[in-house]
Amino acid sequence: MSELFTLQKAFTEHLRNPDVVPVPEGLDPRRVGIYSELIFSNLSALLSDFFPVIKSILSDDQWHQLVRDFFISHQAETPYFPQVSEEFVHYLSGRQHTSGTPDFLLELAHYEWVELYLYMHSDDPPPNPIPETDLATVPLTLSPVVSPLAYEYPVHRIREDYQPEAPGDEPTFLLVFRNKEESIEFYELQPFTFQLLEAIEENPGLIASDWLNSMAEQAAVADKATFIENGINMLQQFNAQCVFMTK
Amino acid sequence: MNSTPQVQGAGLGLRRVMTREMSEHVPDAIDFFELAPENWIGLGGRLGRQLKIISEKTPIIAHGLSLSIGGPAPLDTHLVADIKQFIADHQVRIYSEHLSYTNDGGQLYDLLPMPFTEEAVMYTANRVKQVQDILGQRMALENVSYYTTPKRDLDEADFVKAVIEEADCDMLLDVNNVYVNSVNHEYQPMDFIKKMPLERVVYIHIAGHFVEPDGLIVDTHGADVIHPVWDLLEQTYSLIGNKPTLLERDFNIPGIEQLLGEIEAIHIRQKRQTQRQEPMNV
Repeated sequence: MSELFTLQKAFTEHLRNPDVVPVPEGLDPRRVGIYSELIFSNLSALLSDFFPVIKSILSDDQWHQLVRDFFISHQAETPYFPQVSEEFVHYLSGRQHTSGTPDFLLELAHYEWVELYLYMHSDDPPPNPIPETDLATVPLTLSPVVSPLAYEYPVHRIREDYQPEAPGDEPTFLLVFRNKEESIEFYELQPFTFQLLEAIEENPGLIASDWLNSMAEQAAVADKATFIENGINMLQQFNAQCVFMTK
Repeated sequence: MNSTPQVQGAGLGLRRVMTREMSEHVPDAIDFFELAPENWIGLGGRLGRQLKIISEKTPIIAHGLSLSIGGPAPLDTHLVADIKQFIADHQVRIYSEHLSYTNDGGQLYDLLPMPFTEEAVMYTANRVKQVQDILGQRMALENVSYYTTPKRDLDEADFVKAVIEEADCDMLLDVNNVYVNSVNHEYQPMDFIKKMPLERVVYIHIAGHFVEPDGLIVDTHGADVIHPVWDLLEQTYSLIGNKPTLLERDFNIPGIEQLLGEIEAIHIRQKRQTQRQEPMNV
């Protein structure tokens, strides 16, 4: 390795893990310390903006360890500051030692990240709902600023004073979306509704009445017409929020 | 190589907290905005639209943060390509970066000090040339504030000058950084400025900073500009004439009225310089 890279790596290895890796020889610890404090406080500030709920429920010690460990065990790739939120979720999902932090941390981080991601996404929601009369029969896709989500924990309710220690009896299904006013909203979903929305996400162009029909047949529903009508009415509730597009 | 249209007067660092207000109305005193492309590339929704409105009526300078021009990781050519697109999308007038590095194989998201060596001069200059080739236009390098350097074969001024001349690029002269470094490393700030390749300066930065209890200055862009830095700006104008000058304020951001006071202080010094250059007939 060139002298330049050797010097730089020795410097950054210390900055990433200043309690363990000594200050490079010949440098003033007070001055090098300014850099280790700067990189730490910059990232800490950025992450507390992106993950306000996580920041509020972890102790200062836990938060400090997490930010420090991000530097020690993760090589962040993105040059873009808003995407550091996604880097943090990657970091959490690859984390080896999870002791000392709540089990729901990764799911909560993912949920907070999705909210940010949809808020900042460069595509806009469609300007208008699909005409109600077409909803059952046109090919449906989800708007690019909509995300159906399934979690083990009720992540949308976690707060400082509500921190479940074990997953819920049932999974939590959510639809998170950017509305026309460009705010982020969510709905709690019934399992069947989630199944339908996820089917649309995974099979863009899905025809809702066909899908409902085959579900009715699988479940041997007696009154198929009512079953399908109920399904379409349910979709209409989301359609009013412009979460669907036609393919 | 294309030379992009330049900017004039006094500008303000555009922060997210200001975008709504600035998209509705840009005060007359603000001639241009500067922003970090790494905060805005790919950003849609309300913020993206507000930026588009602002860049359609006010010139933009892109001041990068993550390129890591002097760093050991391979040059991020995807980032450079995205910046090129961003320059086209927002008619960006100048693209500048820090003579520094941020990436050792992973991003550390802060500006780290270069070793002042001949090897670092050649390495960094070659990467600047690569970036200028991809962009098809010149870029400007900024003298950064630094608190220590891993190696000092050259002194700071010689190092900065050598990189910029070897790369044949423009310079962003950060007067606040000169002041901060002159205190932290005990030299005369004007001596440093006089050593710079001044004919290459395309714009100037001015900012505030914090003084640590032990007298060391940490360059935070979180306070008002202090008198010695204003004096340095004025002396620089008298040396090289008026240059577009940008007020950086990244933390503790006050209301726009207070920032406009500092913008006005830039205009006043530029007017004085104009009067010095063109004495009135009496």
